Amino acid sequence: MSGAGHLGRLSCAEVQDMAGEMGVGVLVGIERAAVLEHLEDCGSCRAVVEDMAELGDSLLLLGPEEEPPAGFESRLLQRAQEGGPAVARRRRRVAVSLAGLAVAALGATGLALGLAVSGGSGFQVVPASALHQVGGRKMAVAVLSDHGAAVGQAFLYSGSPSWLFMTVDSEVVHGPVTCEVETTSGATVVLGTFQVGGSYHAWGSTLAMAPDDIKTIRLVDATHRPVGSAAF
Amino acid sequence: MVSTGGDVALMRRRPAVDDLSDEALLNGLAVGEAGMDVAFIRRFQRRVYGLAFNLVGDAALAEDVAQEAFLRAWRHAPVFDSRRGSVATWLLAITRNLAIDALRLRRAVPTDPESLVGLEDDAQGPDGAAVASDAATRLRRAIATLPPDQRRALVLAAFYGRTADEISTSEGIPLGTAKTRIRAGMQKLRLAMIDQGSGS
Repeated sequence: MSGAGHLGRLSCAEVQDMAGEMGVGVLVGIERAAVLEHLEDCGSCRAVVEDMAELGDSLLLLGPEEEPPAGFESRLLQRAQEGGPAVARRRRRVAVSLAGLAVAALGATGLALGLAVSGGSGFQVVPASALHQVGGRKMAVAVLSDHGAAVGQAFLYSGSPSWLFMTVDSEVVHGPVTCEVETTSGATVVLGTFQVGGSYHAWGSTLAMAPDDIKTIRLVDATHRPVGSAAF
Repeated sequence: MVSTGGDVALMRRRPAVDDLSDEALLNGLAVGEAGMDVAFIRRFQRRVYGLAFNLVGDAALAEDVAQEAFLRAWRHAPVFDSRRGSVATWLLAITRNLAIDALRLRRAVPTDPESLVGLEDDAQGPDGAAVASDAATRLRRAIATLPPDQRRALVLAAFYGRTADEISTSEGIPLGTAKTRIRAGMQKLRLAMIDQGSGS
């Protein structure tokens, strides 16, 4: 994994020393990348880190309780009816078909034309002339990274429809992941949720917004912890 | 046709929603079983809203965070993996992360972060006592044994998502010291939980 190399290969003692920080989710940067690299093939350290993560989450059980404001329950149920799980399920179904569409489109455009993904977190734009033949206006590519370590690639296509497609390294990211975008106006829009693991490591979604309005793409895990991002 | 005895047996086979385990409740939610959404909210709303409110310090923002946490939980209910923790810790982790996200422009460091874990208040009132798990009681007992500086660093990290670097800055201590406090605190907690588990 890129980034982890700066620390070299960690020993089990070093990883287990860092397990506490990892367990409460505050180990960042190259240290986190190096630990994740070590855990890929060290079952005993993985068990310790998982233990610490469970302990870290358990601390939240000690948090204080408060009575929510009157009407909390009804307002929540209303929100759920308007845009909760039903919308998410519909988006997931759309996403499955879009993944195939995106791969096909990439084959027809970017990849067939020698599209290259550069390092760093900034998007690299494919020349408009290369997309003209499929009616696209612009294709941008970026490395999804987490504290400097690459976790995947994102492809942003401006056309009819416009879409976002991404691949995620299932060795680094596991479980359900939600893709959010932050727009240039500062709003956060949830595009959808997908599962990473096994053979599931690619996802795509059409965009209701103009791709040029997207400032940042962010992936968060099931507990809303950021696991990867790319910024314009 | 159906005897009274049969009715009683039928009632026994179908426990009230309130008697369902957290996992069973989430399962019911995942498959869209009627009434599960309300039961799920009622079971966890005090803990979810309480955590959100104590982290963001604003009632309106806390409600928004708490509602979003429930919506996320419903969305991810079908893929919840009980091997990776309990429903309560999972839901509270979602809440914590959303609250941290909402506070991206971080407030000043709370003067008394340890008050979040309620060391002086073991019972947490009648409702709290009713739902407080055995694990939480053991954990509260264990964290009370930590040196205050380790406990403070641990709460800042676990609840507020502060990294060692941020704790170093806010507490005016070297980075290495901040890291040691978090790491040593967690190691001691883990050992204490193992000891308590084997001793009980």
